Amino acid sequence: MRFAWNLVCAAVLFGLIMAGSTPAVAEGRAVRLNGDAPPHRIWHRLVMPGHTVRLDVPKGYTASVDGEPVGRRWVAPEAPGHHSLRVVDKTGETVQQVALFVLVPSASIDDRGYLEGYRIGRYPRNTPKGFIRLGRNDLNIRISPSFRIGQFICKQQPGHFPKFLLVGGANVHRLEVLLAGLRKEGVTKAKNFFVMSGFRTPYYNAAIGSARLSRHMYGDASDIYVDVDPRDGVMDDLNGDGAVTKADADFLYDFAERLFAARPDVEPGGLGSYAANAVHGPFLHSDGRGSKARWGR
Amino acid sequence: MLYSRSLLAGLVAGSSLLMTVSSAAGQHAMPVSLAVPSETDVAALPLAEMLGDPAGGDLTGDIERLVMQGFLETGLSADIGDSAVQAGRMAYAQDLFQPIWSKAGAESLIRLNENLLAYGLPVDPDGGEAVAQVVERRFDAPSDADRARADIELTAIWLRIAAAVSGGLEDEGAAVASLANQPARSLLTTALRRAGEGDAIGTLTPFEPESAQYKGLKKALHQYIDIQSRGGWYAIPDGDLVREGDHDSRIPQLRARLQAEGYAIAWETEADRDDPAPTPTDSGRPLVEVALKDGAAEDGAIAERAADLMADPTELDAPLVATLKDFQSRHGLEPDGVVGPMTLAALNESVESKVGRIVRAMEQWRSQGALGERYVWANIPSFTAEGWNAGRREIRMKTVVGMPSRETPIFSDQIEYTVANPKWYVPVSIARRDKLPKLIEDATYADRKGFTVYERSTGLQVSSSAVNWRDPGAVNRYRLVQNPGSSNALGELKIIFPNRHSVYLHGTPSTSLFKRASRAFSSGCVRLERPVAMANWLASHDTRASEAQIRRAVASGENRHIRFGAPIPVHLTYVTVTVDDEGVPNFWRDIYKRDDQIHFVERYAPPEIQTTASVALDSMGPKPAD
Repeated sequence: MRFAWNLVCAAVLFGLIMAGSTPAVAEGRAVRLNGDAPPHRIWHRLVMPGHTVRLDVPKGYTASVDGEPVGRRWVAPEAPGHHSLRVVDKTGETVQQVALFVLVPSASIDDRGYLEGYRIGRYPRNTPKGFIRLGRNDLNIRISPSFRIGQFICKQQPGHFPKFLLVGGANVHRLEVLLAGLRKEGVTKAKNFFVMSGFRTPYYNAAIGSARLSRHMYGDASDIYVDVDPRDGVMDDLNGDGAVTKADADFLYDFAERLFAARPDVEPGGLGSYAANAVHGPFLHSDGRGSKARWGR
Repeated sequence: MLYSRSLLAGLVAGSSLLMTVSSAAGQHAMPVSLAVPSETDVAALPLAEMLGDPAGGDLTGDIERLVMQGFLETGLSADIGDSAVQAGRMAYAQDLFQPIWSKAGAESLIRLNENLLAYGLPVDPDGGEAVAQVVERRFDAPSDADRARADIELTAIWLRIAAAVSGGLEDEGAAVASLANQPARSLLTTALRRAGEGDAIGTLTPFEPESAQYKGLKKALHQYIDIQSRGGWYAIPDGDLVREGDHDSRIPQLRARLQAEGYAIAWETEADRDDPAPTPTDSGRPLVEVALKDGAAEDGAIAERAADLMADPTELDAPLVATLKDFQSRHGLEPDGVVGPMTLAALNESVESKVGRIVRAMEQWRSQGALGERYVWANIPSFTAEGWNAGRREIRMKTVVGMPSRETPIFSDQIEYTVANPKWYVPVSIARRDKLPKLIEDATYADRKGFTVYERSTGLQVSSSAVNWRDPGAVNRYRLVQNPGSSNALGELKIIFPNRHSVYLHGTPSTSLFKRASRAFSSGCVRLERPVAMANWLASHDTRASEAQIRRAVASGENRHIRFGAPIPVHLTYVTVTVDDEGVPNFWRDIYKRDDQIHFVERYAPPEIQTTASVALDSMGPKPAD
């Protein structure tokens, strides 16, 4: 059991740091970062300070980071922060945009479990190598075509900045695939999901009494619902039965189950369907744990 | 109802309950980890370690320790849903276990606790003192641990009130699925923190039911509490029927009684006598707000001034009749303007009883949960069906509901389709009770009323005259189906929300019944005064059905099904107090005897008050209180 868990964690960490073993799914995105093509035109990568990102840019394309031309290698600075990689084609059109997050090494967490006043707590095991550091103005950074980094922050210390978090490529990719599928079949016109819970620090996860080894602590899980019709803070009536109930979460679950099974680019992961309770409506839990897990249905 | 009462009992007992818990927790000084089922090696992980170290001083440290020991859960989860307790825990966790309650917040909580009656929640006379004591401990207790405990207790008190105001903060279950659709509840954690910062009252607003009825009832409650505080009214003794123009010693009391509830009565003067059509009062609308402004002393002055103008205070004159008719129609009585036993019974319901009825109606709306964006509301005691959309009533009509022996059930469901020119498949029970006697008595009955008879075993049509209806087993062997037509019991149209009660909305050939004030005549279904109008209203918002389609289907005379594109919620309720568009409450008769808490005034007016209120009745002595 311990072995299996370690494997999963290793996979998660690998996914987080090396970001994305998913193949390119569309033409024109032949750009590779450390050998991997981002699965979407807008994407993100997590990089440890001082580490090198190898860039493979096809002929005729030009890459830049923060507006400065860049060659085949980009070395992450020591300071944590956000950098914008952009690849344009001959006509000057952007074909690839990647938010490069240089992480704060987890060694910076102090003895009491804090990072710059933000309470991280302690990982029971498999402490991630580092964390994305977000300033007040960084919340709107796009990490994929439909999602912004601010949607995934932990709910703790609402007024406190900087905040720290992790967000996993497999997790975000699953959300993008699900959203596209729902839109394609006309289930919803939503342009994104409401992410009820994305990243959780071990502190917050423990404080709210959640599962101890929650995938949320690794940025690898999202609790989501569709909320556009009407936009009211709870799931929409997706199955059209006139009421917003667990049946709508089940609808989302079944839809995701069917969709993901047919998509080789979606890694095995967890799906959970949740009923409404006094403080939230029905929702779907999705994670990219690397192995299949199903509950609540 | 009962559930909520127990909530409230907990509400005021809350602090003491939590105190018990806290002393119990104090005996276990060691941090107790929460029981989270997990694999063996995982279970060994100390949860406390995941938290890191407490952020601040001793107070936050103590709050953290108590919350992590499950102090909130132990004190609350027996009363409110686990997830609502979880919201309290999240509120602490989000701010690193800083105390939630500031001085301003605690004071607003005291004010809220004193004002629970405004929400229709019972007030415990000792509850205020209990809350004040927790507030005192929160700020003045010598030890941080005691102050930490008090902060969590205040949180528990506010959560209990929020739960009571919202109707339970229940987790979704099979029985309460409709409650889940409450967006405001996702705000619970945020609202709690804002309450603690100083607004314990305003933060509750999103948790109150959204229905217009609840809001109107809340206002009416305020008005009736005021009438109650001014002494309500006296009982009017039984006696002979009094009709317009009759003289009766109880008429001055009747006048005082109606005015006490805020009904405006025009005073008839000698000049009015010559006017063949005296102008009615402002339709006699109960001017409760006016009544609130006028003090009792001023009422007396008005009465005295009016006495000079009045022809005869003991006469049931035209203006008083107009007001009485209004009273009658607002109490489910025939508006005949006659003082009779049923009208007296309605007049003699005490103001306390009416306050109680309003409170219970508010409670019903709380437990009803979200009604939906667009829905049909059929309320049994008011004999009405209404169509609501986006918070506005768009259609309203009279209904006929089940007679007391065949009550219309109370439930919520979803309308799926409508049938124009429906056939009526007579249920065996109705065939036995209602049809068999007629079939036996009149050989032409089946043909005249358009019934076709089928043999159940073969499915073949048989002639009614070939069946021996005197055989008690005949209703089980033969099926009666009434064809569409002018005598069809379901009228032009039926509206279906498939349910285990086999109840639906439909028309009726017996339209004369809609003229009656009390309309409990059906076998359980809800008969609509204008079924086609209701179907048209449903279709007017629908993606699939159209009004034209319904009109054509009805006109065709053929049996046609029309399915709606989206199901529409329908709520069958039994609420005995409703408010009209002006916010005036109507107190309906308890036709199914469900409300066993209707009480009557037991005091008759003492002579001196009768004299004042009744405007100088020298010749008439008060009737003895029999």
